[in-house]
Amino acid sequence: MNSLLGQADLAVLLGTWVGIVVGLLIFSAIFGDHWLARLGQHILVGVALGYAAVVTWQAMFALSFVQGLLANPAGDIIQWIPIVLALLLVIAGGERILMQGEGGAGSGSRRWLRWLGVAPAGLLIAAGIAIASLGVLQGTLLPQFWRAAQTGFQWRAAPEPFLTGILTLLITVSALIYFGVDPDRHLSRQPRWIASFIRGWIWFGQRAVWLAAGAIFARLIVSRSSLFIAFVEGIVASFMTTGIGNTILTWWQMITGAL
Amino acid sequence: MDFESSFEPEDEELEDEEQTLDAGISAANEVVSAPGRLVSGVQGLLEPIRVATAPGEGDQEQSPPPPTTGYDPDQLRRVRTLLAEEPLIAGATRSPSHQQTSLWMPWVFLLIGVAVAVPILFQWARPLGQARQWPGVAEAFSAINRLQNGDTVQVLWAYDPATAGELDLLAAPLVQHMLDKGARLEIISLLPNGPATARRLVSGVRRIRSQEPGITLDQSPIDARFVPGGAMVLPAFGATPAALAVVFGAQAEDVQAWLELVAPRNRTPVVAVTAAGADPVLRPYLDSGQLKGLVSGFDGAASYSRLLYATTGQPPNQLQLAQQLVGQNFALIAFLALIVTGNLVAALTTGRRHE
Amino acid sequence: MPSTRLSVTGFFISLLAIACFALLLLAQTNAGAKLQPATGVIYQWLMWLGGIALLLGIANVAWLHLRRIQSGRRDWELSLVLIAVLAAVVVAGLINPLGAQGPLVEWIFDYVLAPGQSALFALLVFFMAAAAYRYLRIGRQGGAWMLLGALIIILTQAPMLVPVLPASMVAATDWFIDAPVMAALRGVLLGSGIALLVVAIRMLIGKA
Repeated sequence: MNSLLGQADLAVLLGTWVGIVVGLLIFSAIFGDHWLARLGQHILVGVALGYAAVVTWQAMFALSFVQGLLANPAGDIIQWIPIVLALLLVIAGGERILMQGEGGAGSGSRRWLRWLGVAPAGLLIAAGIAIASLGVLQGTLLPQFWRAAQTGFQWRAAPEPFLTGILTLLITVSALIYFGVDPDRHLSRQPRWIASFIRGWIWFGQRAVWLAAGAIFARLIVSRSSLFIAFVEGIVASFMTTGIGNTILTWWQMITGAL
Repeated sequence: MDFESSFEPEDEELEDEEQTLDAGISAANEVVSAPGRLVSGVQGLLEPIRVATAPGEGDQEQSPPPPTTGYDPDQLRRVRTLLAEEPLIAGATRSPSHQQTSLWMPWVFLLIGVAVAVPILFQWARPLGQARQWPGVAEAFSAINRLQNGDTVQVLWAYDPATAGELDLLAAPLVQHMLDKGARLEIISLLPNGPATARRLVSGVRRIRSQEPGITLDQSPIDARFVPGGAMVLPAFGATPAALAVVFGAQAEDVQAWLELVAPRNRTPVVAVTAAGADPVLRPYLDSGQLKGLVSGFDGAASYSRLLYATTGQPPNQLQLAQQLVGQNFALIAFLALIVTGNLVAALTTGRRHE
Repeated sequence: MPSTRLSVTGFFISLLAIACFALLLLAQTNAGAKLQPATGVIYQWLMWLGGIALLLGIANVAWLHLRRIQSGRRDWELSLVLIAVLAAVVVAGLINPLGAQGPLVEWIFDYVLAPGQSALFALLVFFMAAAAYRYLRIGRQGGAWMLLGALIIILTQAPMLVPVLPASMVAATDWFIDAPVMAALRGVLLGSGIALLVVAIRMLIGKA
């Protein structure tokens, strides 16, 4: 039992040092592109990819249809479809991976191998298009258009919310126009007064978007600062765990007379 | 893994700059051949576009300008000054390495590093101040406070250790609140590292809470799993009824994906817990009622903890929150100093040119 | 076949996308509740294929690094480290029945992956600082407006200023973020939503 506990302590201590070294290697990229920083990045990428592979493998085999097939392979023939599709994807993708950068992509056999991937890739693309389109329609466009209209026409509201509502609607429309209208392409053949009117909207929308971008930037500052603060805290806490931090702290307190 | 490349200017911008450089050079050539039209011919025709760093900003100005043309250098310098904020080197092409290091500013890095790290290293406790409570935090608290014992809460865990420094601060009080209410968390993540991050946070909250007298929390295994396939497969979770959905997301897109793909299906109220940078983008969803609450950033974490511990005392992550407040104060002072300096440098260099 | 491949593929994908769209839409209505098991099966298939695609992506990176080692290109030894680490994690995860929750993989997560990722993202604040210095300038295009928006938020989110802020200023900032900023970003959301729909339609009719 004691030896087990000792091993656990050793693993924690070793891990703490490994964490400090890997963290500092990666963070050293702040001094520019150098070999040690690249070493840290390669270790991180290797670990991240390996970990992702393990987690993905586990998650795929935990899917209910896969479990069903493993329990009874002849149970439901339909459930073999994704297995076949996956096989086609692996063959087509494997061909692309293994033969990339090599000539002869147009040869007959290789074209056939690539053609095999059309069914699974097509299913992924088609489902992606359908799901994204339906999602954006029902989750963003309809509710946001509806809400924009509601805020702009609060006829029975008090003057202050009424004016805010009107302003909100104006800004939304101008930002939308700024994003949707290319003055050079869309306004060159318009009558002058229409072009001037739209240009005015675009001017207004552009400024509103810049203002919003400034607000986003300010919130990003605190977001990124939080990450850096947490990183420094983590490194300090790790040093304290190793015992070296406490020694340095004691020396510091002796030097400054705090001890 | 090239960090700097993500901060490079867009290709279009670079193309524009290249064109401007070429236009500047050709205009300079014209102008040199006809000095009388120098100023009137250039002003108003060419918008001054920054093509390199301003003096005193980076390492560019430290290298001597290469003599690449046969024109009178002084004449050329005046023309270039009219064309851009900084002397252009006619005939010289910018090397890719210069473009990559456009945000490589050691003294800025040093300032920020010192401003944030020193208070943490020396464990300064001041200036502390108070976190700002943005609209949406109280609403999120109410939504979670309405949960009943045994209610199911769907959780999309859309962050991993990369952003855990910020998001863990936020997730801890919310997870604790949900566990205190006796809710059952069904955690899914589209990130391979998400479930492990979730398990560590939830078990940490359970451990801390179980040390408090009179607190008994559910100690069953944490239900957190990775879902491969990306946002495309999220609608699968819309078939499950739940009392509440909480999205812990480092980016606004994660919350948007849930609101677009899951919420319209099961009509479950959604609370978003996000990084501060994602907050403004999600405000329209809060305004439209698609989000029942929005908690973001270190200030969101601190204000939520304040609400949660209004009657019971100090939150368990009080020390981390205090360090965040102190660190943020120094960071924001440093950022303000940088912004002011940047504007002063720009004003002074422009003023000098006008002279 | 090769001459008609593109059009056949495009037609196949368009047809499939339209069928998926109709199926998903129907499944959400009360009338289509019976379709929910079918959509559930489709999502399971998509998860499976998504997983395969992810594994192929990992295999691709590994293969690129293997080729780099084979050809002895610059930094090949770093590629060797990457491959060795990747293989070690995969083996550790696959030989243990607990998979990613096995003790060795958990150790790797806690002491390599987590500190590494947090170090990587800690660097971002420095580039934010450089961007703030260089781009939040009154003279730049849009700089004054961005600076205004940024300053309003920075000054009201600094913890040491919060206790001394007048209530009217707090209310004004709340209004600022909930009215003009929110409205502009709603315009952006609508614009990007419409753009996504247009791109989807263009893909379906074979114009993209």
